[in-house]
Amino acid sequence: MDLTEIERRIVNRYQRGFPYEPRPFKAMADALGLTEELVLNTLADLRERRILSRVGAVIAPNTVGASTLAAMSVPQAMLDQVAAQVSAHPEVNHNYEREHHLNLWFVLAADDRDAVLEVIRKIEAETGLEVVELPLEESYHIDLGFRV
Amino acid sequence: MTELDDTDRALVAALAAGLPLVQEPYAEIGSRVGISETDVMARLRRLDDTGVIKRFGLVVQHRELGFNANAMVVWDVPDDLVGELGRHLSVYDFVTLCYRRPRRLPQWPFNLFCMVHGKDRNAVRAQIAILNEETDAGRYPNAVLFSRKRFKQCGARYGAAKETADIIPLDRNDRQIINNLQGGFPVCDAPFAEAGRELGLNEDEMIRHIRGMCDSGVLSRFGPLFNAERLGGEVVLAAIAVPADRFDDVAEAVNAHPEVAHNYARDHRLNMWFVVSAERPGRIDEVIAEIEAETGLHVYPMPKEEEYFIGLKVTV
Repeated sequence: MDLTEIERRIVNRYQRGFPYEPRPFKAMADALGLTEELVLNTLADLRERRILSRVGAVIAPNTVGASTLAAMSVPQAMLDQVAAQVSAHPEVNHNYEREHHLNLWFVLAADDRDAVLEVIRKIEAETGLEVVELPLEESYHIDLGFRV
Repeated sequence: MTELDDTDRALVAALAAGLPLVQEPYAEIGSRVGISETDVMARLRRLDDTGVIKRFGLVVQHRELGFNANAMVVWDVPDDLVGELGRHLSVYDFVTLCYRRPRRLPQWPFNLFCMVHGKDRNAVRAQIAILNEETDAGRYPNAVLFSRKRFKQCGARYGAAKETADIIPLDRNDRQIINNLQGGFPVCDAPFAEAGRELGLNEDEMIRHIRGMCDSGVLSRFGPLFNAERLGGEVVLAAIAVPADRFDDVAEAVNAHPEVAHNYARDHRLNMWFVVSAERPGRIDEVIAEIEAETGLHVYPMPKEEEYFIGLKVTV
């Protein structure tokens, strides 16, 4: 999807370091030489086009609550159905098919480790399939967002 | 680890759907959590400084930006060397995440994970080749797992009970506005001031609450509900019996028609129900024929024969 020059500048500059000021969109506008109204309208438009999912926080894993990565080996004919069963849990926030013997990969987050394991147990019971659970042990990367 | 209090958790939960796109978003979030704008900003700064917030800003949907190829690259690296290699791989700007996770033998022999995003698979393969050539990664057994179908992608929801994870808190004024305005909105020069008078809210407060509810998705829209038939258009309810394994694909094909307004799965042999509306007489039959041709499935139109009641309202 093509971005206008203004959209590109906003997206590249503000995926991190968003201002903690009473009028943050005005602070963005001042820094970019735009008006507050134009910044707000541009963001609303990006959201409408589903490019922007939100303006907000990316929380470090296992600080607020607990999260994990999990994978399942699902027979191809059952994949859509099992994926829907997995996605139906509100704790699941990413769920992708990947090209591997373990072909369904999802991330889930809940209030604590026990709650995470409880969701996994439920998914195993609902689907009759084993879930391979791969909790984070160490993170090496600082998430800077995407350059567009 | 940083100690979070209940207010921090409530703040993180209130931010799950993002900041409202209004001039003073921290004040708005504060009013939902019950703390001041200053307190919201101070808490966010502290969470940011202590690393609980990894980053704060625009969260974009990479697929919509054309980053369609997304590979999870994994290696099996000896435990005493994995940290050094992980930090080395993280330096590359096309590596968007890099983690160590446990092996689970026999199903899963790998312990180092990187996500690489790119515009197409060849570009991503070239980037992975760089990682394997320029670092020690190439020495170790590895696998590349490209993603295919995306079933779900949204922000993590923390700090809220499971059953209410998707429920957005409403204050007393929000509730009053919802309960009062579903039946009608004043048609006059200053309608927000007029509608607010009855609720004890001024014009600015009315606009702020309504905009907040639109932003958070509580209100899917704010405006008149047209009677399509009186405007000369047609509306028809239709249903299809869809084989379970084709449901998502058929839903996508149906939803691709701009004339389709609602589409729900229901528990019945006819398991997909949707509403088709069109301005021009005859267009509905065309849309139904198109859907039948695209899906190879029979569409059952169920035109309304007589209307007994309309005027859905919910009280909150």
